[in-house]
Amino acid sequence: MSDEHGGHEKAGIFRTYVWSTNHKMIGKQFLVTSFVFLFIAGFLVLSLRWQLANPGKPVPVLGRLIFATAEQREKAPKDIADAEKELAAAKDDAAKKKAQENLDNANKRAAGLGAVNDQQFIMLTSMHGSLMIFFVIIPILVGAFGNFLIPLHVGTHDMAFPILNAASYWVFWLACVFAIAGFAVEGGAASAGWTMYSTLSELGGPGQTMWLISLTLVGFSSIMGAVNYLTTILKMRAPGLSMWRLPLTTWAQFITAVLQLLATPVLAGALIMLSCDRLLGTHFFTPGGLMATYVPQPHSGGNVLLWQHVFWFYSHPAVYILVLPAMGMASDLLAVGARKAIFGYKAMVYSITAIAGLGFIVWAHHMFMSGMKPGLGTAFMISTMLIALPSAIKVFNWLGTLWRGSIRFDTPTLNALSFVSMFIIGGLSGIFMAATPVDIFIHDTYYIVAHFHYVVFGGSLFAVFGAVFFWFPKMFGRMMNPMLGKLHWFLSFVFFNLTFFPMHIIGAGGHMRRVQIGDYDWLAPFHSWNVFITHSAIVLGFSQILFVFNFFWSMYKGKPAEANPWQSNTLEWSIPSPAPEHNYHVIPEVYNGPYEYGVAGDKEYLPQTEKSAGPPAAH
Amino acid sequence: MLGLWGSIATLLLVMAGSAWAQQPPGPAPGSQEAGWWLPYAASDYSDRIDDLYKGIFIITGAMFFLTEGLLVAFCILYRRRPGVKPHYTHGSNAAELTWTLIPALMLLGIAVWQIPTWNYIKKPDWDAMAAAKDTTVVDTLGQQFKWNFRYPGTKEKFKADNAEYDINNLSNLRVPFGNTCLLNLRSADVIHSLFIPHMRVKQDTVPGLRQRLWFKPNRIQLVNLKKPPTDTGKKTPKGEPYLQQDFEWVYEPKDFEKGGRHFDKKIAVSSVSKYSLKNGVLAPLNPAMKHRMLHQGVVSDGKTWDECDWAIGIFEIACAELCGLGHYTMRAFLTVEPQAAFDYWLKDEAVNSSEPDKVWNYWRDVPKKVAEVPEPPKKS
Ligand code: HEM
Ligand SMILES: [Cu+2]
Ligand SMILES: [Cu+2]
Repeated sequence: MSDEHGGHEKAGIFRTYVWSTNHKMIGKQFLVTSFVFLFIAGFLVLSLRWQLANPGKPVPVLGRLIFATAEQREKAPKDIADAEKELAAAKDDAAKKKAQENLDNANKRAAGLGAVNDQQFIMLTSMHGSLMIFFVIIPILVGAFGNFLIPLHVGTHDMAFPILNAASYWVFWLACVFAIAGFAVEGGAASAGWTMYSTLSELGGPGQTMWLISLTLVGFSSIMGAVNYLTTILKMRAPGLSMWRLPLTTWAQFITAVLQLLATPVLAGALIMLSCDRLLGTHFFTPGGLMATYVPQPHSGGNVLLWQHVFWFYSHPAVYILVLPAMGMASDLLAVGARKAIFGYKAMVYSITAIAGLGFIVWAHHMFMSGMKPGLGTAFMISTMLIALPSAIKVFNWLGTLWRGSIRFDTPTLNALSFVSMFIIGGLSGIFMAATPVDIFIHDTYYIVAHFHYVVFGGSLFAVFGAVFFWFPKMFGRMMNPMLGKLHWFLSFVFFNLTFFPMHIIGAGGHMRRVQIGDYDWLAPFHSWNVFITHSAIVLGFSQILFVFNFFWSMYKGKPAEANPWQSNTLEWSIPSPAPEHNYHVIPEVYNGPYEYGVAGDKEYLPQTEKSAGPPAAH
Repeated sequence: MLGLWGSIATLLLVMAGSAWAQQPPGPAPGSQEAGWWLPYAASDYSDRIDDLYKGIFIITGAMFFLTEGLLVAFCILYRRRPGVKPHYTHGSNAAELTWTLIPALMLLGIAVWQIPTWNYIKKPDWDAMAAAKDTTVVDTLGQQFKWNFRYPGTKEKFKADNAEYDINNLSNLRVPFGNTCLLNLRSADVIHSLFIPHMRVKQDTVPGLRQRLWFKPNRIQLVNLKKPPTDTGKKTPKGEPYLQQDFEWVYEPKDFEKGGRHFDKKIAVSSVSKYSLKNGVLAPLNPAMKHRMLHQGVVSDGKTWDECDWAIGIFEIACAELCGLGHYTMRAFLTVEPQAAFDYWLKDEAVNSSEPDKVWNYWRDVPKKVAEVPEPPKKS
């Protein structure tokens, strides 16, 4: 990396790649860390899906290593040998029968070694969800792209507080360490769902505490990031760059940062209260008279639903943290791909803002069945219906953006289009769940699982695929391979739908989430769907290898990129690829909004840094 | 132009959908097998919930086809072609207004439409309901990992100081057909959620709080024991075939009374602990076991399974809230049975339960202070 600033000493490898305060490097660090977690969390859920499709069968390849203890692995052949000996030594029929039974059991145990057991099953669901949300989607969207893009988009050298920025990453890194260490403690990692409902989370083992520490750290990291983003966007915009000339990506990051700044402290408070309950003997979330397997628990005075209220007061806004930045990026990708201005730019900004604002008054729609007052249910139902409106407005504006465009189907555009179409499905299923009487039936079923995977995977993750492909040249100075990119998009899109669409069907059939089918008779016929979903999920999981391969391969072998390979208007494309260490040699002057495509004259697009030759073409 | 086609398609869809929504509530008999839709509905308000589901399905379905249709159409129509320039526009306020107001009205419509149903389910006159003659009140306790259902053995009120006569029926909720069932819910340890899919019932049980819920079963199944079950072609997780027993829906309690359609049938009405419901088939756990049989309004004991021609179908009860490693095993049963059978069971059970379940003494009231936590019960 070249240093364009005179008078700056050249940083060493350590300061460049590890202990860096450069926003671009920190962004890349977040990106790569999250990819690692994407694979860990993906492995967790594939193991879980394996258990659903093949109950009691060991997970292939890694199962024996991961889901069986060393002790069990050693004991299994010994048990068989012992039982065989016993059988050989047996004299009468009764002894023989017993010995044979022992042998059968030992064989069965050995054959099932490496299968997911009940405790591991709930640990897998809990950790899959927690890791995907807090260590994959949020850090990629906010940590990676927020960091990388905000200073570029506002036309400045770096974040307002570079050291705070680095601290945000390293606190996050510490959180990762605790998250992983959770798996190593006695009883395994947290297993009370990603929602950690009291009192289950109060009664669990030390893994729960590790989870709490880890999430508290993530919270601190988010708050540090948010302060930084807000200050940078508010105070460090290049001359001429009014708020109304910011690309939607940065607008979305701005609103997301507000959400994080306001909501995350509530989460931190909740986590600290729960930690106090577990470690210091307080009773915030535990009522009197609790009894765990007939043993009275020394608690009193707490309120179980209080946890749900504080948790969702954070976590509902958090689900929008999971999607707003993706909406922003998808908007930009669509505008560039369609060579057309965003339809209703201001409406887009207002609806993002509305989603964020309303996001604070819908949290109890996760609690319709918790036994809160029915009148409250109605109030939250109405606010939830309201929040679907700005989402609908955004969808129509995306359609408006495509309308009479000149769409080029490169990988970023394909992924952004997928974002829109999958987000529609997730938004529409949200309406079913917002309808309180319908939610009675579908709450806590696979319907919910389908819903949030359509918005978070179908939505956000596809936007991320597109965004990585799109900004890769600015990150690494090379293009990602378009063939591989399209193949990856195609496989992901097809198998994503094959994996998650059937979940609507089994959810409507009443298949609870977070369960193994077990003995439930009315669920038995869904087994074939579970097998189908598992197979699709495996292909979906393995398709992601293409993406990672493309990512790392292109870093070294990709086609060298020009400054502006996508003919985009925003500021970052006015500087060389990869972006120089301090971005802009001279702070750019901004003359236009970010979406001047298809303007009159011989110029097909008008970068923000160029004075327009004349008035834009008539409508 | 496209917008026009989209609107026409939407209109057609809505019309087709509403024609379909006019069908009588509840799936056709014989559709016990899980399919593409909600499971069969068998309680008073389940049809109302299903109608809402249908309605929202139609509206969102129309929106789905409209938006995804436009997306695909635009991708085809406005793909990059040489010589065709994109249209330059930053939007239109009229368009924004249209697609704000129309969805807003639709959402508002959905919101208002469902409120009566929600109130009907959640805000009955609880006291009147509890006092009504045709209401069966059952205390319900969720516990890792089982459901306890308690009945007043004396058929009077529960007596706080005299719980010995109460009946704790583990994993088995019985309700007389035609009655409203009112459940008082509690949890001993963690949050559970009582889920009876076919009744469209779900309610979390929260430690430290009491919850109430009601439902009124309005149809039950009579399972034909004499016809061999048919193969549905589906497989269970163990790879066994999932079968379908022949059955009949019963809509009226009086069908079991004199002159009713089912008065003369020989119906097995045993305790669920004697049946197993497995792979779609209701069968005795042990062929040698003696069963109760309802025949011409009278229950007699000591019958073999073969003597019965029919059996009352049972519904499954699940726990829907993650409650620990045994969450998925927290399965219980709901038997909705003719009044005569229920009365016989209650009397018999009250006489025979010599060892009252201490869990209920212990769980009578949620203690308010730590000091009030009583001694743990002795292991029997
Ligand atoms: C159109 C807008 C939306 C509506 C009306 C809506 C409505 C709902 C409702 C009512 C629930 C609770 C369902 C239940 O547990 O019974 C829910 C759950 C959820 N939603 Fe949405 N939603 C919308 C959009 C989104 C978006 C954009 C995201 C995230 C990117 C999202 C993520 C989630 C998640 C993660 C859950 C499940 C949480 C859990 O229980 O584990 N939703 N949604
Ligand atoms: Cu929410
Ligand atoms: Cu439970």
